[in-house]
Parts: sequence; structure tokens; C-alpha cells
Amino acid sequence: MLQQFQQDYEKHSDTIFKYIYYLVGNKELAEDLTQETFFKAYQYMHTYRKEANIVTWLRKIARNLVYDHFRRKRIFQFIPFFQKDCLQDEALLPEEFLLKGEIFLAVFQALFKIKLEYREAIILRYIEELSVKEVSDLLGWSEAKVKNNTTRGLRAVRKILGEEGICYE
Amino acid sequence: MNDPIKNALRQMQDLKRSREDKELTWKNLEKKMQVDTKRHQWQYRTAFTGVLVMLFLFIILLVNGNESSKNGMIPLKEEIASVHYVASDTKSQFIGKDSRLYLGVKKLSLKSYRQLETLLALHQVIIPSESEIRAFDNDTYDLIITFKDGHQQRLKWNRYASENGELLMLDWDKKIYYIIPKDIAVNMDEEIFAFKSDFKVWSLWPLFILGVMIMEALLSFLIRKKYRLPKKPDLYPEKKWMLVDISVSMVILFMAINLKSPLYAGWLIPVVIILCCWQFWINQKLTPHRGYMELRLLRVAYLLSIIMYFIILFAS
Repeated sequence: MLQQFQQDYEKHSDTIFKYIYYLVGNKELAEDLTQETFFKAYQYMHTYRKEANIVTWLRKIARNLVYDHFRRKRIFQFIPFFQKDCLQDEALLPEEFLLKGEIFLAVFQALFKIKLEYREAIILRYIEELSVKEVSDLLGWSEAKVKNNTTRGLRAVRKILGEEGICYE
Repeated sequence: MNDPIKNALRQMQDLKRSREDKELTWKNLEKKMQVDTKRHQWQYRTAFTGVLVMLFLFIILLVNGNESSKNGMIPLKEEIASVHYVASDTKSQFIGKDSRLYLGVKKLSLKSYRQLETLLALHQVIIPSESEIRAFDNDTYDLIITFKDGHQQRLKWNRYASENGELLMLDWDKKIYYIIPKDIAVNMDEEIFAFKSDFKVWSLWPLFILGVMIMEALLSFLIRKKYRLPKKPDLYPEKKWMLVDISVSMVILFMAINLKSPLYAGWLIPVVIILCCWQFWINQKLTPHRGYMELRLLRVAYLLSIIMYFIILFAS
């Protein structure tokens, strides 16, 4: 069982890491949450139905963990002795993106400023390149909601870029 | 396609994850999994070992009880622990064998074997001729008398040994015939057969097993509900699970109800061993989830209760 699990980790952990990273915007935290995702997967292996895609199942676990993380963060924000700096997940631009140009940088930063629901839709539709149907299955939303959130998310990104005076047309 | 925002998003697919980070995460994960597994496994292994020890003791109890000094005289003065009988239609074979290990061997009630003791006390040793033996009827009962010191006596009881209505007993191991004179035999014969109604001994003990089964089903249900576990782990198709469940429940109930009269110990032990192996096999396949851990311990307690039940019944 462990050998099979290790193979699954080798095969899918990068995808999950990428998904988590774009949700939380921090590589270290994304690594931690990836580890937690696979640990939960190991614990709940019995609930995994083989006919389902394992990546979809792992993404669902990862998503729940990310939401838990944000929920916790929101609670901690009300506690005065927690420094605000500790709670901020600042999206640091990864090294490999340093030379990508101004628009890329602006889009990257804007992505972490929009609502989590919009960000999720954009990540899955444009970075992970999933179909509307796949996103709807994964997130448990209707297809209309997926389309709406994607459009609104893109609009929000454009708005931020416009406010920052970035010319992207 | 030419949308620069979408292009930028597409370029984000190039996010790199270092090999070192990936391996480090796996190592940490592996450590965490091992700790989690070990934390749960030791409890289960300890408990399961307990069950196996109990099973072993149970088998030892049976094996010790089966030691028989076959050639000893019938020690009537010693207290008889139990008498089992089985109907036989041959005088050349003793099909009763070991009373506790064969299907269909029935146990006489306490009252019945006290009467038998009286009956045996009246015996007279006879040495019938070959032709007389041939004339004996085939309709017999094979009796196995177990004394409190553990030794067993095999006795073939021929009701219609002769036309005179005498009772004939054959010590199967020593090949000595005892005869009960007609005048006493007629009475004793009637009395012993009147005890047939005592052969079925009803007790409330099966209710204990029934209670244990209900409790186990209820607790399993609650644990599954609490941890949102699937009804059965994905090791077998649903129908096969159902078949296994029904058969196991039937076997246990059947054994519990019939334990006092027809003894099923001969196949009871293999069934319990198979149950234990089956449980162990399933548990090895399961993930170390807390809910499953609780289910495993519950199963161990369940098996233990059943084994204890048998030990108590056999010891009594």
C-alpha cells in the first residue's frame, strides 16, 4: 500500500502543490499543505472510490485544507497579540518568474488580491486548464457559477491592473 | 487567446518545485504516517494477541479434557462430569468418538446421567459367545462418559441386546460386556427414555451472545456514523460482504443456541480461527484511521466475548 501511495505522491504531488500554491501564495505553506493533503489522503484512503480520478480527489482534500487554513487565519486576526505580519500571506514572486515582465508580475500580484472564490475559478480554468464541467464537479458548483466566477475574477484582475495603471491591452 | 491576462495565467503553469523540497516533504510525510500507524497498531496488536492467547487456552482446555485412560474400569464412585450420546446403527463401529468434537453428539442432562450411574452400578459382567454377539441388534447408542478427572469412557449401549429385554453395555475399549437384568432393565429403560425430554437443555446463555451481537452491530454503526466511514471497506463487492456477514452471524447464533445439546466444538474452533484470520486480513488492508482503529478494537472485544462464552460454557 505504501509503495503505491509513494508512486501516487511522485506522480501527483506537483499538481497539488501548484494548486495549493496559487491559492495561498506561499511556497513553504504550500509544501506544508501538500504534505497535509497526502497525509489526509493516506488516512482516508478507504473512502476513495477507484472510479473517481485521484487528482480530483486530492484536489478536494487540498481545497478543504486551504479553506481550513483561511478560516483559522480569520479567527487569529481577531486575537490582538498575533502580529499582523505573521498572518499575512504575501505572495512572493518565485525566482523562475522574475524575468517574465511587468504584465505577468501585475497579474500574479492581482491574483492574490481578488476573492478566493474568483481566484479558485481562474486557477482551475486557466492555470490548471480544466473544463467548466471538471471545475464544477471539483468545486461542487453549477457550471453557470463556474463561468460567472471566472468572468468576475478576470474582471476583478483587470480592474486591479487598471487601478495600478498597467496597460495590458 | 491573445488576452495578455490569460497568457500570463497560462505562463504560471511553469511554476517550479524543487526536487529537494519534494523529497523532504515525502520524508516528513512518511515519518508522520509511520508514527500514526505505529501509534494505532500497537494497541490493536496487543489486543489481538490477547484474543489469540484466549483461543489457545481454549484449545488447550479442550485437548486436556480429551485425555482418556481408555483401558480403565468404569470408576462409578467418581463423579461423572458429563455424558454424551449419539445414536448409532452399527455395533462394529463406535461413532461417538470424542464427545466434544463431533457433530450430532448430544449431552445428557444431569438428571439423566445420574440415573445412568445407578444403572451402571447394577451391571454384571458377562462373556457372550460369538453367536450371541452376532444376534445382538444393531440399534445402539454410543455413550461417552467424561469423568471429572478428565478421563473418558466409551460405552456402547444396546437396548435390544436380547429378546429378554435386557440391557447390554459394552465397554468399547476393554471389550467387556455388562448386562443389566431384565427386571431392572425394563424399569431403567423406561426411565432413561423418559429423560429424552431432558436432552434439550435450554438456557439463557445464548441470549448473552445475542446481546453481544446486537451491541457489536450498534457500536459499529455508531462508530461508522461518527467517523463517516463507508459501510464496508472497499476490499470485496458489497454482495460478498453481505454473504459473509450473514453466514458468520448464522454460524455464531446456531452455535450459541445448540451448544448445550448437540456440540459443535469440532468445527467451532476452525470457525473461530478463520474469523480471527479474516479479521486480521481485513485490518491489515485498512488505513490507520482512528475510526477503523476503534472498529478493530470493537471486533477484538467481540471475538474475545465469544471465546469467553465458550470457555465458560465448557468449563461449567
